[in-house]
Amino acid sequence: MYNKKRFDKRYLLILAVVAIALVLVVLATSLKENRDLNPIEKVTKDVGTVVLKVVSAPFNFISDTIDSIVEKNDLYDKYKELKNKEEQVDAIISQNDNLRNEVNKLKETLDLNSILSDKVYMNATVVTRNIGYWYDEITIDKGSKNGIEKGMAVVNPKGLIGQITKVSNYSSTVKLLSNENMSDKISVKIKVNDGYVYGLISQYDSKTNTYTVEGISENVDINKNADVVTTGMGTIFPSGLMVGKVEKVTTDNFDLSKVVEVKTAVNFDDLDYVTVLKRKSE
Amino acid sequence: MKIIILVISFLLEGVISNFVPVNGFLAPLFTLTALIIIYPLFDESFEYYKYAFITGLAYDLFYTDTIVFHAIIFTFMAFLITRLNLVLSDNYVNVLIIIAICILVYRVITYGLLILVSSMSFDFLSLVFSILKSLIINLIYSVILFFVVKKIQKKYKYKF
Repeated sequence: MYNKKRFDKRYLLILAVVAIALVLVVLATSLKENRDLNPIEKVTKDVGTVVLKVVSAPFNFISDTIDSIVEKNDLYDKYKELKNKEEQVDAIISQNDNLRNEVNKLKETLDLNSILSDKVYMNATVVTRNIGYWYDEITIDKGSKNGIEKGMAVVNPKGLIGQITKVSNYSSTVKLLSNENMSDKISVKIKVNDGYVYGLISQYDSKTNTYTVEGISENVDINKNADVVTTGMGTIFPSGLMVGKVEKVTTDNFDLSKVVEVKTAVNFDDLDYVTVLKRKSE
Repeated sequence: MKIIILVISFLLEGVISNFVPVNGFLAPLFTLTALIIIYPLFDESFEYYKYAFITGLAYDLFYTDTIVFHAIIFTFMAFLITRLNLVLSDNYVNVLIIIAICILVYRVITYGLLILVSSMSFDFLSLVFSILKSLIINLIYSVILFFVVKKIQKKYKYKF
């Protein structure tokens, strides 16, 4: 009797150790950045997306209704503001046309097929946030059958929000820029007086809602509120996507380079509809 | 009945997570809460483990893209729940205590393992806050679920 009990305990211990090892291995493999989803995962994820879309439809309807009621209250202020802006729109449109023409002409003369800021659009709806989990990811309802590929940029009207990391047939996972575990550094440029300086987004601080941009040389003056946009280099991101505005400029520990804190343009808590962008390339 | 409660909690977790802030860590863990609430409805523990494993597997496939990670964790949580239920009886205060302990253990385990395998840095405060915030939302949910289950049980006098 006594022996049997002892054997059971030992057996349990071995089982526990094996289980922990197994969990670690599974987690490590499944968290690999460029892991392809296996077919079973793809199918269930597609089914799950459809189910969750149906289930969340009434909830979304309620929240949309509340939003519209809230918006109605300050409709008049919005109207006034828009009226002011409308007067400037014509001027901006003509200027835009002019610039587009100029770009096209320059492209022709240089014999360029595409430039870094050419992009292809695709709209998608957010189905779920990744939950019970420490990474910030969202699932959208477009997948490889809709032409989505790994590494594409995802934006909302305010600016860049993240990057596609996993793709199944009819859904895909977006890793948000607010992710703490950012291994792909995104190349950005900051507008200074007569040009741009280049840097890399290294991390995101959720308390202050800012990114830290590193790798900027010491001898440039960066103004507060300067625009920060993507460069389109390194990844398949198009250039010129809004990332945020400069909030604070400091130097690093060795006084060798500048570290810029960038206030995000996007509210990561309010993502319902997003756009997936791909750089046009021949 | 068990399946209905589990499925509703499972889907509700996905829906609610769309409306809570991403950075706030106000993480609904309704599936785990539902697992704790439905424990008294099971006759034998092996069946309970089976349910926990399948729920965890669905969790992996639907939400987190981790292959069988949550299946193993949920089975372990089920084991913990059966152990805790040996010492604590089935009344509401005890269920609350079990939920609190389970959320604490679940959070610490997942965070610890994630720190081990990923390039994240350890942040004790964010761990504590995440536990506190997931406690709030899940305890509220458990109040609702507990009384709904009890009421249905009484009304239909049906052994689930």
